[in-house]
This record gives sequence, structure tokens and C-alpha cells, in this order.
Amino acid sequence: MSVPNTLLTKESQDKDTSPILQVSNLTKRFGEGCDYCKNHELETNLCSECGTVTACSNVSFELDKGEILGVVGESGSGKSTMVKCLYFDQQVTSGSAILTDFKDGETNIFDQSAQMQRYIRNYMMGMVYQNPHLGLKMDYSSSGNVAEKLISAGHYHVGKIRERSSELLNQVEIPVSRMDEQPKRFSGGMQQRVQISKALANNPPLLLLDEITTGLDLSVQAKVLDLIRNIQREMQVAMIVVSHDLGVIRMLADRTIVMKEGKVVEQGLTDQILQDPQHSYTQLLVHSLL
Amino acid sequence: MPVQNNFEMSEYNFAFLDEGSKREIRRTILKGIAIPGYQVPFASRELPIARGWGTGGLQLTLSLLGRQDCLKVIDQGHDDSVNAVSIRKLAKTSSGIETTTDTVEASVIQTRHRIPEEKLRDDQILVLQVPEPEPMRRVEARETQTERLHAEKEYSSIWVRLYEDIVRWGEITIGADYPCMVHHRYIFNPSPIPRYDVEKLHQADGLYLFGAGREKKIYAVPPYTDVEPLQFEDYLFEVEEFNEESCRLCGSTSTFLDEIYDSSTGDKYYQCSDTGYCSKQQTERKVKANVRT
Repeated sequence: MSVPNTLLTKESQDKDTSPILQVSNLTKRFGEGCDYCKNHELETNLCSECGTVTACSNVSFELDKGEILGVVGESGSGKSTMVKCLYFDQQVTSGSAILTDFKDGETNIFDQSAQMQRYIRNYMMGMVYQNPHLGLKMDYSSSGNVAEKLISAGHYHVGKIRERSSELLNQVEIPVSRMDEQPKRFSGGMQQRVQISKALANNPPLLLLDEITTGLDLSVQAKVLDLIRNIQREMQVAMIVVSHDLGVIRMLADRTIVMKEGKVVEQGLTDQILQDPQHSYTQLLVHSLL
Repeated sequence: MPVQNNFEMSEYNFAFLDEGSKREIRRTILKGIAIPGYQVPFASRELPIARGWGTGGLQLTLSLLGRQDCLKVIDQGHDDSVNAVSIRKLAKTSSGIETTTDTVEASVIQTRHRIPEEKLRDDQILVLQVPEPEPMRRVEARETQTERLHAEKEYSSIWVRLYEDIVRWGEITIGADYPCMVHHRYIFNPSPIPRYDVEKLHQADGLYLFGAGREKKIYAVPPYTDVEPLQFEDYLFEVEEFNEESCRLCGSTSTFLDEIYDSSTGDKYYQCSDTGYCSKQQTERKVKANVRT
């Protein structure tokens, strides 16, 4: 029986509407940094004094439950660095990120120990890289790749692992008869789908997708995008979709942030940004859409 | 042929190594005991045998020996294999202490690839020679990465390796040197002892020390520590079975048996791998050795 909304306490209502991820002032510098680039607003992301590259500069945003957030920007704008920081592939220079489901929902995950960060990665996040080689062990079986994520989250029953991996691979249209084949024998699109099923293995509340359709041909792109939409609809997973392709963003994202030189230059509803871009860079981006 | 000079032991320190080296090794041992299963790096010394031939074990043994100690050295269970004999001789000539082939008499036992049949007591130390101390080397070639994996207790990759074995072969194919979790923290290689011996490490009375001379690592399993071989809930760890075969010399059915083929007839025999225990059994049971000529 469903509980009428009015009976819910204030607290639980808050919990329902509060974002699952809050990122504030995420900054990532490659290089030492100097007084100049730490204290001035730079025109570009390269410091003229010390040569430090500020890949992400004070990036802040929120992500709601089951929402898809698009991140667009040209090459080198810091989109990938941002998701890699969120997935702990790279260490942030400063800033905080709070996952509502982690601890009391007030803990900065960047301050956690490496061991704890592994835990967050394994239990609460999934990542799909542009290059399947980064996310998959090409010499292991596809089910083994999915198993890795399940084992990380504490599943040690081979039968159950196989059941779950066949279910997941089936969901991404990899035939069960090929579940024990190595991804290196798969096409690019199939490899990408194996990666997606691996990322989904633990039902993570948050999925990070980094340029997942880049390099795939159009029909395969469409299939992968379709899959992502289905997953979002059925499983209510929140996602951050990084892409330089506005078509992908338009199709998937509810809200979008636009990045340039490491900074967020514009954010809002995707339709709004595409119909009525405010920032000159966004305007350029939208108008160069074929 | 040049005449080999006599080896003047009086010119050497007690138990070959200098006291400074021994002290460093003992300190490393203490750290290893304090953190069960953690591989403590140490400065592996030069010895009269080549690295990879038991130098890790030998350095542990030499550092542990005192004048009251009694040493036993075995190689895959045998007291009389070339390597065991050479190591025992070096320890004996350089320290003058007693040596034995009887597990019960020994206070320090150096071994390669076996744990003796007789249960280790709390006043005994077993020193194991280790060729590859890193369990994660099976899945990760870089030392910087394996150190990080241990630090973060990130062991999913070795579990996936076991999973792959099951997918491909229907069982886990690691025989000797079966990776185990010690004290619920570190996964370690128990050195290439058979699976049969792995269970002896769990909640043991004695102290187990592991020395890898070539890889410059020392680690330990202290007494009364949990040692759990990696196993899936539905694919359990299994030890070797001998299908009711018995030792042809002492008739034992409850020991780890070596399989031996007669090269002329092609016949297959079984006999105890632990020769010290076997000869004791023979005298006890007064079984006449039935060795075929």
C-alpha cells in the first residue's frame, strides 16, 4: 500500500527531493599552481605564469535521483577530468562532493581514504569509459568482467554471479551463448554494451558515462543511446553523460551544463540551452550543430 | 684443477651473517608478525648460494639461530635432498649447533614447499622459502600497483582470476601456492606448499615465517591466526586426495604422498613426502621397507 504524500514526515520528503549528488567547487589542477593562477580568474585554463593547467575550475552542480545530466564542451574543456575525479580515477585539487546515500549524506567523498573511495566506487557508482580498453579486461570473459564488479561488492557465489551476469548481458543484448567470450573478440559496440552491463551490475544509484558513443557508427550509436534511455526509465539510475555531441545530449539529458576552459559557462534545462543559448560559446556550439 | 681452500669458519661470525644484518632481519620479522601476511621489505644479503635457491629462508634461519637451537632442513619433505643438505651443512659449520631430521626435536625448521606431518608446537618456528611472495602477481605485473591493491584491500582481480578458472576449466587450477587471506586483511602466498598443507597454517600453535631472498620480502603467520584459502560459496577449497593409497615404506594412509614412477617398468608407487616422519613410522611400526631393486 502506498503512503499518501501528506503522511510522510518532513524529513523523508526532504530525502526524496534532495539531490543524490552535490558537487561544489571541484577544482583540478595539473601542475604545482602559483599565487597568480590560484587567485586570479584566468582567461584560459593555462596559467601564463607557471604553466599549470587548471582542467576544472570551481565546478558546482547537483544531480537529482534518476536524472540525466548532460555535460558538453569542446575537447580539453575538462569534462572527462571532472567525471574521472568523481570516479576517483584522478585526485581533485580541492572541492567537495556529497553523495546522499553515503554515510550521513554530509560527508565529502574526496576526503575519504583510498580504501573507502574504492568502496564508494564499487557499491555506489558505475563508469563507462569512451575506450572499452579502460573499463574492461579484454582477455577475460565478458561474464568475468561483470563478475569483477559483483565480487567487488561482496558477492562470492559463482552460480549467483553467473545468473546475474547473464541477466545483465542479456539486457544489453549480448547473447547468453557468448557471455563467456572475451570482449576482445567483440565489435566496438558490443564491447561498449559489455561495459554498460558491468557498470550496472550492482544497481548503482549513479552512473558516469564518458563519451560512450564516440567512435561508434550511427546505427550502433542509436542502439546504445536507446539502451541508456531504457535503463534510465526502468531502473531510475541517475547519470552524468559527458559528450561533445549535442545530438547525444539532446536525446538523453534533462539538464545540461556547458563547460569551457575548465569552467561551467552555462547550465539549465537542455531544451532551453539548445533553443536559447545565452553564453557566446554555447551559441557557437549550438549553431555549429549540423 | 685449483685446490679449494679450506673454509675457515673461525673467520666468520656465528651463523655466517654479521650481527647487524641479523638484527635488521629480526626486526623485519617482528614487523611481519605484527602485521600478519604483510610483505615487509628487507635488504637481502649476499650468501654462498644463489638468490632463488632458498636465500630468503636461509637468512631467516641464520638470524634466528642461537647456540641452544636445533635445526632441521627439508626440501619438499626430504631431509636428504642436495639443497637441504647444503643449507644444513652451512648452518652447522658456521654455528656449530645441533641438527636433526626429527621434527619433534627441532626448534627451527627450514623448509621448501612442504610443512612437516607432525604438528608444529608453540616453541617451534617453521621457516619457508618463498619464490614469489606476491599473490597479486598472477594478475598484475607492476609492483607499484600490487602494493596499492594490498593497501586498499582491493582483491577483486584475483577473485576474477579464480572465477575465470571455474568458467574455463570447471575448477580452480591453482595447485601449490594457493592464495589465502590471513587475519581477514591481507591475501598472501603460502609459498608453493600443496593445498594439503594450507590448512595447517590456520590457528596453528607455532610460528610460520616466510622469506623471499630474491624478491627481498619477509612475512609471517603468527600462532593462532586465521588463515582462509580463497573459495567461492559454491566452489569450496579442496585438498589433494590420494584415493586410499598408502606409503610403500611405512604403510601410512594419512600423510601427503609423493607419486613415483619406476622408469624401467613404468609402475607407479606412493611414498611419504615427509621422509623424517616416514622413517620414524617405519621403526615404530617395524614395517620392513619393501624397496624394489
